[in-house]
Amino acid sequence: MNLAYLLNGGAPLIKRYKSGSTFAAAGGYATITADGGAGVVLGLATTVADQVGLSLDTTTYSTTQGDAEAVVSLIVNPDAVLRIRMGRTATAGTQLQVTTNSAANTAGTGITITAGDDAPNSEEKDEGTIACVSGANLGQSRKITSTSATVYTVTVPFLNDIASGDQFLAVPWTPADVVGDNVNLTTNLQEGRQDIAVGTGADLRIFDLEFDYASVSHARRQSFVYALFDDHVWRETT
Amino acid sequence: MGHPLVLVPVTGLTPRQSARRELGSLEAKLSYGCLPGTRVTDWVARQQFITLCDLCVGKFNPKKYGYERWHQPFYPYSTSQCLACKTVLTKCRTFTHESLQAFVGHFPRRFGKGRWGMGH
Repeated sequence: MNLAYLLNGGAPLIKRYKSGSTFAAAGGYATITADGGAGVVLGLATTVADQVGLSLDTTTYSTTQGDAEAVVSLIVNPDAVLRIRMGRTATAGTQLQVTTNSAANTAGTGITITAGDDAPNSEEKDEGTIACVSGANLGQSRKITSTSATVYTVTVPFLNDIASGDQFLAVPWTPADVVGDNVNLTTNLQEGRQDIAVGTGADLRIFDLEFDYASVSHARRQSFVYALFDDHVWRETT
Repeated sequence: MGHPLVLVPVTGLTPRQSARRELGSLEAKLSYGCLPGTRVTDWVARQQFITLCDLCVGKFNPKKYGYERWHQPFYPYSTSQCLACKTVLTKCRTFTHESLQAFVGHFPRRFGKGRWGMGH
């Protein structure tokens, strides 16, 4: 994940904190340590509480005398908006799965999957977002409001009929939504996973979605979710 | 007739003078090519994020150590402590090691390019 911008539009505040764990890659994030820890620790991919900030460099934690103290640079602004590439598995760098509509829908409200596509309700995508990346509705997206084993349903119709063969991306996130938040991150904390049920993952609040509609390939590889830390220690809510 | 002329030998320094000169030369060596107040090269050796104020940034050669300016949208600086002089500043210039740029994100400011660029 990267810093996209701050909500207040100012400069990020960078602080260096003692670290109690090794940060193998920049672009992760830190949380406060448990009792007895030596400093902030690397965040987890799935569960998060008490975030401190986005990491900008790497550090190696060591308790050996003579080794340098582990220190990590963090952007500590609670209003930092993070830009997280959408991926599909626990490994970073994968591309998103496309859903190909198999049944024409003149109401513009139902997308029926093709055999082999992810089932809409497993992992559950209800309250997520579905975006058209190929077909008459290219460039449009709608919030998913119900799912079945084979059909995504949206309340607000797409502007045009949905034809058989149209392609869509369904993701488990909706900006400013009570259910469609949280991001399950890849193992290296760099990307957000599409293949996870809505509402699960690290405690991040979705701010925006960005799909690259230039082509289906672009959309599968260059789409991003923007999110904020939802349990940041400097926000003083918990 | 006034005071007689007294010659003082220049080679025979007192121990205190000698110590001061040695210390002075040592300081001169340390400060030459280094940033004041700290060893930024220690951070460089660990490939960690570098933040420097306007006064200290001229003493750091990012290319020499494989560093590049880190830009982010809207405001090219950061609020942080200068690694050299320890000043907390809202306008620190930031450098990231080239090996980490893919992870922290790079948003170059292309002010010099394009139709509305500042140009050269």
